[in-house]
Amino acid sequence: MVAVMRMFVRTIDGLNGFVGRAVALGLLGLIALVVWEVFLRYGLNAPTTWGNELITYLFAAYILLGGGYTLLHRDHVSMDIVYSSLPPRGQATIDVLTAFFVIVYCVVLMQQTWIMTYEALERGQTANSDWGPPLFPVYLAMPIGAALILLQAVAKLVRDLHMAITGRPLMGERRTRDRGEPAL
Amino acid sequence: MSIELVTLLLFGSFLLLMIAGVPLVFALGGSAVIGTYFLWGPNALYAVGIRTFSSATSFVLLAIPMFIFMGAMLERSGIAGDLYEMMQKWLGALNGGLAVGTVLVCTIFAALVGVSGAATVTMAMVALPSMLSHNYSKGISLGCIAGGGALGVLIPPSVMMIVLGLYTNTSVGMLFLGGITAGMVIVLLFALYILIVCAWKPELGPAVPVAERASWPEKLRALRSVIMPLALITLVLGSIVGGAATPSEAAGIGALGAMISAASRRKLSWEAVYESCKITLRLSCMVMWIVFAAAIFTSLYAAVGADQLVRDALSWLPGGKWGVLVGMQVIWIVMGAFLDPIGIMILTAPLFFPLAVSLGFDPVWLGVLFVVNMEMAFLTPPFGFNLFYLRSVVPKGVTMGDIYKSVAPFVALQALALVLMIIFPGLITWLPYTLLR
Repeated sequence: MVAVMRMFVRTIDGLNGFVGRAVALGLLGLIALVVWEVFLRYGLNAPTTWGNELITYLFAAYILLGGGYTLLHRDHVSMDIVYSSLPPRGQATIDVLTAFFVIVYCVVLMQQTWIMTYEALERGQTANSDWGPPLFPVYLAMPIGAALILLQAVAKLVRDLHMAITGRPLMGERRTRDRGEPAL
Repeated sequence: MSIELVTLLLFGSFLLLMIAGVPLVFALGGSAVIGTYFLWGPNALYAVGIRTFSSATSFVLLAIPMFIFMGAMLERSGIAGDLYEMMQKWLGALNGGLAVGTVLVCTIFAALVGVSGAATVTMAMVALPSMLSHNYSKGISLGCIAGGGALGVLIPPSVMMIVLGLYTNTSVGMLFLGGITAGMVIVLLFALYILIVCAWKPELGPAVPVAERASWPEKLRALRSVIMPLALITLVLGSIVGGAATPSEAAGIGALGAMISAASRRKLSWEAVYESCKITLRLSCMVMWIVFAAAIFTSLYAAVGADQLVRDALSWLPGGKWGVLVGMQVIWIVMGAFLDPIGIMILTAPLFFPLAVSLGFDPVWLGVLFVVNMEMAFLTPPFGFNLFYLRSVVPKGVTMGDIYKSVAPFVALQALALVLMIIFPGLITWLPYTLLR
C-alpha cells in the first residue's frame, strides 16, 4: 500500500516537475516575442494584428500550466503564523481536514473549463478579434492546468495522510516554504 | 439558502481556512465555489471558467513575469556588490555613511526590480557583513536593509502596482509615477534619520578609518558601476513614463536588457538563466493563481452585500470622508501584520476604491497610499516578509529579536511618510498629473 502511495506521489512530482521546468523556459520565448513585436511596432512601424493577442494567450498558458509546479514547491502563499508553530504531524492533520476545500476548487475549475473547451471545439468558436483564432486550443490550457494542480493537491493529501497516521514522512522532503527565496 | 447564511458561509469558511494555513488561492477559491453553489445553484459555476479565462488573458499582467525575471537576472549579475562598493568609497567617510549607502543601493535596486525580497536578501549578503565589520550597530545595519528592501514595491517597476492598476481601473503608468516621488520621500526620511542618529551617537555607525578611505581616482573609477543600472532604468521607466511603450512592452525590453547586462559582466551562464526562469514561474504563478481565485470570490461581494456593509461600517466613523480614509488605512495596517500585501489588495480594493472615489478622493493617490501602507506590512511582526528574508540570510549572532527591534524606527518613519502624504497629496499626485494629463 505504502509502496503504491510512494509510486503515485513520485509520478505526480515528476510530471509537474517536468512540465514546470519546460514551461519555465518558455518564458524566454515569450520575452523574444515581446521584443520582436516592440521592434516591429516602434522600429519598423509595422505592428502585426495578432502579435499581442498571441502573446497574451501564451502568457495565460504559461501561468495555468505552472500552477501544479508552484504547488509542488509550496510557493502558494499562506498565512502561516498559527500553522507554522505546529509540529509536522499536526500540520499534516490540519491539511487533511482542509483538503476538501482545496480539491473542490481544483475539481470545479477543471470540470467547468473542460465544458468551455469542449463547447468551443464542438461549435468551432473563434475569438472576437481582428485575428480571430479558434478558441479551442486557447481554452485547452485551462483544464490541463487545473488537472495538473489537482493531481499535485491529491499527491499532497497522500503525503499528509501518511504523516498524520504514522507520524513519519512518506519520503524525504521539506515540509515548509523556503523562506530564503525571494517572494513579493 | 438565504443570503445571510451564504455570507456567513463565504467569509466564515474563508477565515477558518486562512487560519488553518491553507494557501490563499485555495481559501479564496474553495469558499467562493461553495458560496456560488449555495447562492445560485450548480449552473452558476460556469462563471468559474469564464472569470478564470478573463483574468488569465490580461496583457497588462504579462509585465509581472517579465519584471520578476529582470530582477532575478540582475540579482545574479552581481551589480549590488559593485554598487555597494561604490557607495562605500563615496560615503564611507561619513558617520552612518555605509547605512545611507545601503539605502541608496536599495533605491537603485528598487528601480530595477518589482518585488521587495530581492533587494533585502541581496543586501543582507553584500552590505550586512561589511557594516558589522565596520562596527555599525545591529539596529542600524539590519533596519536600513529591511526598510530599504521594502522600497522595491513602491519605486517602479512594481508588481503590486500592476495588479492594483488592473483591480482599480487605474493607469499603471500614473501609479508608477506617483511611486517615484513617494519613494523619494521615504528614502530622504531614512537617510536623514540615519545621518542624525549617527551624528548624535557616532558609535552606532562610525565613519570608516582614514587609512581605509578611497582616493579621488578610486572614487571616480567606482562610478562606472552605476552606468549600466542607470541606462537600464532610463530605458525601461523612461519608455513607460514617456508614454512610448506599455508596461508589458517595457518589461520585455528590460528582461532582455538584464540578460545583456549580465553578459557584459560575464555573468550570463545557462545556470543563471535557468534558475531565474524557474523562480520567475513560481513567483508569477503564486500571484496569478490568487488573482484567478479572487476573481470568483470578489464577484460574490456584491451579491452578498459586502460592499454595502463596508460602506455602512465606514460611514459610522466620525470625521466624514477623512474619517473613512483614516479608517481604511487602519484596516490596512492591521491586515498588513497578518496577511500578505497581494491578498490584502485583492480583498479590499474592490470594496474601498469605488467608495473612496465616490467620496471625491483621487484613485492614483489612494493607490500609492496603499502601497506605502503595504511597505509597513513588509516590516511589521509577526508576518512581515522582510523579517523572514533577513532571518534566512543573517550571520550567526543576529537573533530574530535583533531584527524586530531594528525595524521599529523604520516602521515609524514609514508611518510618518504615510501621514505626510495624506496631508500633502501633492507628494504623490504632482508628477503623474504634471506628466500624464
